[in-house]
Amino acid sequence: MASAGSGDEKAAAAAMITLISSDNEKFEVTEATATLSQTIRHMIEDGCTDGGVPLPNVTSKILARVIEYCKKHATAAAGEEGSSSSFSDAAFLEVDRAFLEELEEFDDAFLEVDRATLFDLILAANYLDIKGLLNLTCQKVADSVKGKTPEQIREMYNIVNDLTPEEEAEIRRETQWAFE
Amino acid sequence: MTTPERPEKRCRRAAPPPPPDIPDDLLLSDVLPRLPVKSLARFKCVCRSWRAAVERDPALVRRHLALSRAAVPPSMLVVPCKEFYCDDVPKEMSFHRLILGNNTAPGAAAELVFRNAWPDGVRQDGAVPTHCDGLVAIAASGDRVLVCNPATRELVVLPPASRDALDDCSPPPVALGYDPRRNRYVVARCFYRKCYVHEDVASGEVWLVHYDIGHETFTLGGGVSSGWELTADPPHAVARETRPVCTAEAFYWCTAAAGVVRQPSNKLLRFGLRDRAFEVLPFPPGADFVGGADHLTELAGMPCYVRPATDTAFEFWVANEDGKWEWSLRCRVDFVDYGESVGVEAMVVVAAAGDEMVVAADHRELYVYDVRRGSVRRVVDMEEELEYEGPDWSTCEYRGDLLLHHVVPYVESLVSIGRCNYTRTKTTNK
Repeated sequence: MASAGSGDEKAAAAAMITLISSDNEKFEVTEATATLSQTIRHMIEDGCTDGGVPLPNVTSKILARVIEYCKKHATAAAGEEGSSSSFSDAAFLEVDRAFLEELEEFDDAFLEVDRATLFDLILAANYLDIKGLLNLTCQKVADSVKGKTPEQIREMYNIVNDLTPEEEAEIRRETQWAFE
Repeated sequence: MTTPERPEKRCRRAAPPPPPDIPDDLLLSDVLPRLPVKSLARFKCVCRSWRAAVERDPALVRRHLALSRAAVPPSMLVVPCKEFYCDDVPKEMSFHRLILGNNTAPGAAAELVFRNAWPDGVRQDGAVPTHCDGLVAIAASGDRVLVCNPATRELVVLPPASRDALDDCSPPPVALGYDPRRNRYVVARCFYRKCYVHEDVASGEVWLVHYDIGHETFTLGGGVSSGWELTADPPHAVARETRPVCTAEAFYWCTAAAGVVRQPSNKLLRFGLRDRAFEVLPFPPGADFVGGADHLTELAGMPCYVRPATDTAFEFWVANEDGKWEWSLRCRVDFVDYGESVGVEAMVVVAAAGDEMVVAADHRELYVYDVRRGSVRRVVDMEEELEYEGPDWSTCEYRGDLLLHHVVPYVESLVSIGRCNYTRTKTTNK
């Protein structure tokens, strides 16, 4: 193995990984950025990243966005180490508040995308197993559906209603409070 | 595939829009767990698979619970309640959710989660509610115990428990927790089969002379048993006034000072949820009497002993449950800016996240303590300043004598009381 464990801290920190999108575009990222993805982390651990990591499910447009996210959050993850919180494991609560606010602003701006891009980001986050990004994007979807009616949900997600009218009426009776 | 015509209007496109779309499994596994229970209840109407997921997919129920637990800032449930032996007991119970943010000011609003009439024959009697994973248990008069999930509006009155001989005071408090071995939620209570007390006329203090105490559990979710089960008897008498503390591993009860002794002295009883056995444990050094201004509560999942240090300050000691039983001083909170009487009646930690803990004092006021800064601030007086949401967007007030504003930590969940929808089981409940 070339990078990790060489004893040279700087070399390890600067270890670069090449990610290759479905349309064959190459992206050079640091290991710290890449390993926000559990999928890539496992590949690095298994030593199979030489010659680049092909990501046949992710387009260059989406991969660029994913990397943008990972870069920002890799810095955040580094900042979190060593900090501790008093009452919970939620280390993210600690760190410096200004930085947290900045990160929040970044996330908000990051989510200013159209629906198709948001869904692509979810698929990429799921495939690459990037917990934070999956949380962020799925929460965005959740926030956009939570006030909707069942009819609107079916329409938004092309879901066929396979309940019989009697079944649906029964559920509505039982959960009438949820429609108020 | 043919679907029958529905009477309702729907404007479905003839052809579905082109991908990308979120795959159904991601929608179910990663989006639904992030929705409020009210939305999920509504979305049972979307289609069969959504209905099945919301009603009985343990993966969804548990993921939803995990995300609820991690929510920041944490929420609390305010349960206004009349004190024991109050004549005009409310006919309705109500659960109000309160989330304290950075900007919470007096006049904060407490969202009404659920309001319901007390079931027939079940009367509230001032008992302290306990909470676990979205479920709330409340002891009522007549040896009844009520369990409610305010979010899903499921309300269950358990079968009558053993008769408690101390029927001239508030009902025996109940503990509520999760039994990790049986994978079921469990309710527990102590009751006196016999109890003789001696009352000191001069001081008005009452001491136990003879007693016979029992302890019983009720396992929720069916499939295991459907009745109260007696456990081994507690090794000491248990104090009626102190609330039990419920952690992930055990229930803790305070003993009552037994025998005609002038020196108050009590101990901590631990009822392990795995082995269902009692153990007697010491209090922090120098502390030996819960009652008066000493309180037992729970802090970040650990039993916590709150003990007055000066006229205005309290020490918060926590015990580590793993390995050796040891108390350590977690923090010292000085309420000097708020007078000397804070925390004399009660001091309950109701939330702790990051560097802040929220303390409910005297069933009336909420304080936030910041560990890093070592500062405490009063957030809201629940009687005077909290705006309670009433039915149909009205507001209501909870004021007056003998009114207690009980607060418990609250985690909104889909956990069902009657059906075990949180774990995969081979046995069906029916």
